[in-house]
Amino acid sequence: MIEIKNLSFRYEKKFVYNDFNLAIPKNQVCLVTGINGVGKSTLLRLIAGVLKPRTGEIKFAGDMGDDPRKSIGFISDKLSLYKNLTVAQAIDLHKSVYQLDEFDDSMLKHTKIDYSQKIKSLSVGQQTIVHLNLIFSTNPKILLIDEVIVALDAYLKKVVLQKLIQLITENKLTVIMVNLNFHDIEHIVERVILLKDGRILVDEKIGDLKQKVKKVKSATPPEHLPILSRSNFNNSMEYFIYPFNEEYRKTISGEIFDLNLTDIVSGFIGGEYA
Amino acid sequence: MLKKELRDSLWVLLESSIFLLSIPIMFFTEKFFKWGWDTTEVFSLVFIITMVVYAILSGLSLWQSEKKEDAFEYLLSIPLSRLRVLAYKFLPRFGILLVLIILFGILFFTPQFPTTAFFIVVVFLIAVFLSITISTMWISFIEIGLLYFLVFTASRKMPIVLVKIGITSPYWTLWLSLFFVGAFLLIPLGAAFWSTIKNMDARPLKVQFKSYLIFLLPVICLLLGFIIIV
Repeated sequence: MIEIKNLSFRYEKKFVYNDFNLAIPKNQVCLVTGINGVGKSTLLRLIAGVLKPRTGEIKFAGDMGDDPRKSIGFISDKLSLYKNLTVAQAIDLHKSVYQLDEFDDSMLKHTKIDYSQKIKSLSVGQQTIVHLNLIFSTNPKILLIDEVIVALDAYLKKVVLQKLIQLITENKLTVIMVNLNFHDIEHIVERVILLKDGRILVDEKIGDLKQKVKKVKSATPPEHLPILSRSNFNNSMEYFIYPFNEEYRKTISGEIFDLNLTDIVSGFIGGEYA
Repeated sequence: MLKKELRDSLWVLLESSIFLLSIPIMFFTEKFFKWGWDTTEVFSLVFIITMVVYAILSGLSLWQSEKKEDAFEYLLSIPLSRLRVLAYKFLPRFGILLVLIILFGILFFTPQFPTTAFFIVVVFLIAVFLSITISTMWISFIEIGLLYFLVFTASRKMPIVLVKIGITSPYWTLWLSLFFVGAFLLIPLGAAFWSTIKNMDARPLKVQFKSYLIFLLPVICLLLGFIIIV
């Protein structure tokens, strides 16, 4: 379990988080989303320990050992690795730091990466798979993934997601993901957290969210309903309603649509930009 | 990690060894101008230049791979304490420098050897302690040059104070001067460096150098004041 209590953080003068609280139970897969610059990646960096909170604390319950970083796998949007090393040297370094006797390179074997190649000479997708394989090899208890799976091709994406599902099931992994391609991860995400101005705007289980967010296509705006955002698609107006109540069906003249995670998130984010 | 840092240090040594190419140039210059240098003097001078260049480059490049390869986040996310990271980075570089100094002592021992070795170590430590702050190599070279100038000048003035308080032995005045001035600069500089490393995170580095202002500015002012007054 991860417990964030009264956390404050700022890069320079403006606070990204001020008195922020969040609890994530073990073996939960969370999606953190929000508009650009809201602090999603900062949140992952704070949990990973690469940023230090100014005040407040981040606690890890359970058997995390003397250094929580041993049990955390973090891949940032920067793909931070020693890129002058060859893949073999990077594996060697990772093995020595995490004191691994064996290195499970099953994911890398799906690629055509030559281990004597320098990381900087690999494509972004290849670097991503190297980094993910390094992280997965340490059997983390908490996995923090920041917007990188999008760089993978369809086949490698499938390989990574299969491995991710295997780890979630077998190792009771806790996963926090940021703004990935929602379609790819829809079936594994359990909870969606939408951030706004350093606080949580929406925090819902995905099933509940699908019940509570609907899209209405209507010529006349359903102004009596809680409209989250609106968009003009092919000259027909669409309205995202949140929180939706089944009672509303009687009062709506247009069509009502169930939404997938991508639509739900874009509905919320559209509301932020409106 | 240690293996990687040793590789990096050897690479810096190789880069610094480019100065060895100046040996034939110096031979030809000597033949042309007839300064009266013998082979040992030429080798010894080139060796000192190589050591100084290695000391500065290896010290300044302590965090070069993290900066150039954008690997700070990776380094901060792996389970290594800051002390261990520092030890892995410092020891191979300092080890190679010690080997060079010992080799120099064996090959070209002169009565000035201990003070030469002392100043090379001081230059190396200044470079290490400034390594996290560097933006460009040339500016850092100038910074190190200025700090070295302060240490050197203050250590020349220090014997005057020591004689006044009754320490007259040339041996003791020399070494106490070097020790006091070196420590006066290096301890606060080291404290600023350690404080920055200890609290360092993935924020832009330029916002993390407050300790340098707190620790270093008063020391520089005091050293300058000492040089001017004495």
